[in-house]
Amino acid sequence: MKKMFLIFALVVIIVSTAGCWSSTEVKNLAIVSSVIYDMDDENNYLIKLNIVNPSAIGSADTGGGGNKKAGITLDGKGKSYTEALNDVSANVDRRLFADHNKVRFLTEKVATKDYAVINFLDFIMRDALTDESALFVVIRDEDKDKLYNSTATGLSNLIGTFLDELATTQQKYCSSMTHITTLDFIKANYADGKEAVAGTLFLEETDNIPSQNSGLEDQEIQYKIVYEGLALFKDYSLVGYMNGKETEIYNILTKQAKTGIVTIPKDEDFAALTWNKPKAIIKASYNGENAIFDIKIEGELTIDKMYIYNTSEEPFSDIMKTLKKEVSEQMKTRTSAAITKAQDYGSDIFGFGAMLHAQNPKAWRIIASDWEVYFKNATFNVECDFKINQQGEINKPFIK
Amino acid sequence: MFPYTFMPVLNTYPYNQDVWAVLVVSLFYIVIFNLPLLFIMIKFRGLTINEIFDTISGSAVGKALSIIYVLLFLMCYSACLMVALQFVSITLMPSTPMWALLFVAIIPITYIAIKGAGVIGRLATFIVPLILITIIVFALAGIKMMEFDNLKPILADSSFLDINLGAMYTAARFSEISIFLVFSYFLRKDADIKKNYFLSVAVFAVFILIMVLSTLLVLGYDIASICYNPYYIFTRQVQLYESLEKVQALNLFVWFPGTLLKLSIYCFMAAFVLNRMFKKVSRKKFAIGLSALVYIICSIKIINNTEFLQYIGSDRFFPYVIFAICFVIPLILVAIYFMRKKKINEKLTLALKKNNDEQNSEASLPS
Repeated sequence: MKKMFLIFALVVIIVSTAGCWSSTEVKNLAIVSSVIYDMDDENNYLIKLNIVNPSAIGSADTGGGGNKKAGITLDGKGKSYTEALNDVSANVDRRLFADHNKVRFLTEKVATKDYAVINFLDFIMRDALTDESALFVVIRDEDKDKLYNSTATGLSNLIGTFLDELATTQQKYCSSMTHITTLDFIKANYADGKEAVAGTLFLEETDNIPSQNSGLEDQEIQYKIVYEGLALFKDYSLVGYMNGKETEIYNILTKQAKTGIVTIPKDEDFAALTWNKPKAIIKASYNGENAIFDIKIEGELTIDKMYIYNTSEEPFSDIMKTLKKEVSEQMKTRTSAAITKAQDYGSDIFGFGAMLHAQNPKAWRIIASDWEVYFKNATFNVECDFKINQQGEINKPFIK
Repeated sequence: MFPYTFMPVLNTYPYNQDVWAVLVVSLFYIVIFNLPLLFIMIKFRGLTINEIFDTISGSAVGKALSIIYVLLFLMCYSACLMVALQFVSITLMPSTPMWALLFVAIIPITYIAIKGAGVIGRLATFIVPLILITIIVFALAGIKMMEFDNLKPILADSSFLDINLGAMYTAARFSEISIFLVFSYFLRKDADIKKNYFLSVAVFAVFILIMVLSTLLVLGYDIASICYNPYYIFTRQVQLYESLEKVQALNLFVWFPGTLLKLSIYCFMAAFVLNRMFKKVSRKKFAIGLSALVYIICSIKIINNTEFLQYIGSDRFFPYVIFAICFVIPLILVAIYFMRKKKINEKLTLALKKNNDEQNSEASLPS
């Protein structure tokens, strides 16, 4: 009898406690793929959710899904993001589920408004179902209405999946973009001696991009996503942008860069080289008046395209030396320019303050409270040393 | 499981990235603070906690001390349960009412406590290795995300005093020695208390250090120190290859049984001490009664809220209580022992003889 009761109790427990109180069947979930956070002129918080449309997803064999759009867009408005979400929920026949959200887009309006970003982060950190791993991207105000309509998303069906896949696959091959997660953004905002950055994208008009998106014919595609550069923040506010080339320098100095391409023009021709494995050695010091940073960037080069015209009489070894020198010179100029740009914005996105703190804690204690001023007046001595390791693979025999 | 859940070391002196060093130094203080109880355990081996107190301080004071320890176990039981369930309620199951969470947790806790030390020990040999394995798995899987700059500058922002103060607070939270005290009675005769104690402190130190370092290296001190369950937030960032996402479920899979096991230990200990005081009432009845009491305590909204729990878990409350009960009282008992050594040794011999006789008579009973 006792055994029977125990078996009965076990069955009851297994059946009745297999989920939380608010458990919802997958078919009843509205799975959020990405979200645009915005504000209007009356300081209302606006939310635009891109939801996975399950009826548009079908297997290749069955051809299910037909011509339906892979994602649907829902809008909400409120005095807070929670209220805006409730506004969305009121008009959707499924339960909103944000745990698989891939990207959080912040419009320029929110990113530049006082306290808007900090309000946003407060909401993210308090909510039970928000995940810090979603990408954090700033978009131009004029792009917010176009993003979920008529935008090419490569081989993915949804913008969120597209950017998430980019972050996964392109990190190794492209350094002109940043893949900043919400956690990275929050961490940088909390850290001393470092300002936050976010990824950024803009839409570019295009004709005839073939689309794999369910439900979108070729002619409906009007925009392509240009996902490069970064958005600079200072004290929780967007202060400016860096382009793809400047972002490469950001990635090198923050040890996130893997590879990039540099072109060296000569007469009417140019040489293209790929730099790999860049290494930035940064020494921070303080001379009593200014912070001084000695930056040495080292890396390897591979020749992708060589000069064809007007170089035949010059010895190959000399060309190599000149190329190496010019690449190093170009990288040095670009590095100095990127740092100067950040100094102009007063935003230490590279974390030089944190480096000074780590390497010279005593000096940091003196200047930490005025770091913005010290950063603007800091001296940066940049040195670049790139070595050509591979001369290309196809047009020169190994032994001549 | 308390440090596993909310990592109190992150919110103690020196309040910066050097808290891992605090953890290392705290080992020294843990051993110092545990020495009196360790001495008592070794000296009075074979006696229950009640008998130890009675032997050293006499029957009346001994009973009062036993009650103090019961209150400690009860406090740990209810506080730890509330901390765990608040986390579940905030992060995992926001819609599930607290009464249901309490119900689901308290039933297995009480059942294990009723089953006794043997079942607790056997469960521990199953659950604890799982916990330790997941800590290693998460640390290895999270290596790619770890930024060693998060620990810099190392020991430059903290004074010697800060580190030691933090270490003392951390050590003062270490109430596990009281578990040793109660469970030493159940140890096999050939088991070495000292060896087991140092081994368990070493295991605790190594794995808590791995957890704290993993959390600090991925989240950084500033974020980790404001999270309710920093280690869970760390595990939420970890991905096992591209195909396995949301592996924090693995962390929860071992965290919840581990928490239930720890709570069942407190429930068992409180019931055991009460049973030895009031022999007419069985341990089973005490375990059920105590769990019912804890259920009521945890259902009171002014107690079971994050603000109150933050106070209980902070350096302003918990370390002082544990320090008083697990260090000051045992230290006084040791002093009394040395002052009345001869008399106490005589009582000890008698008590051991009585226990042996009881055990022999139990063994000779026909099965």
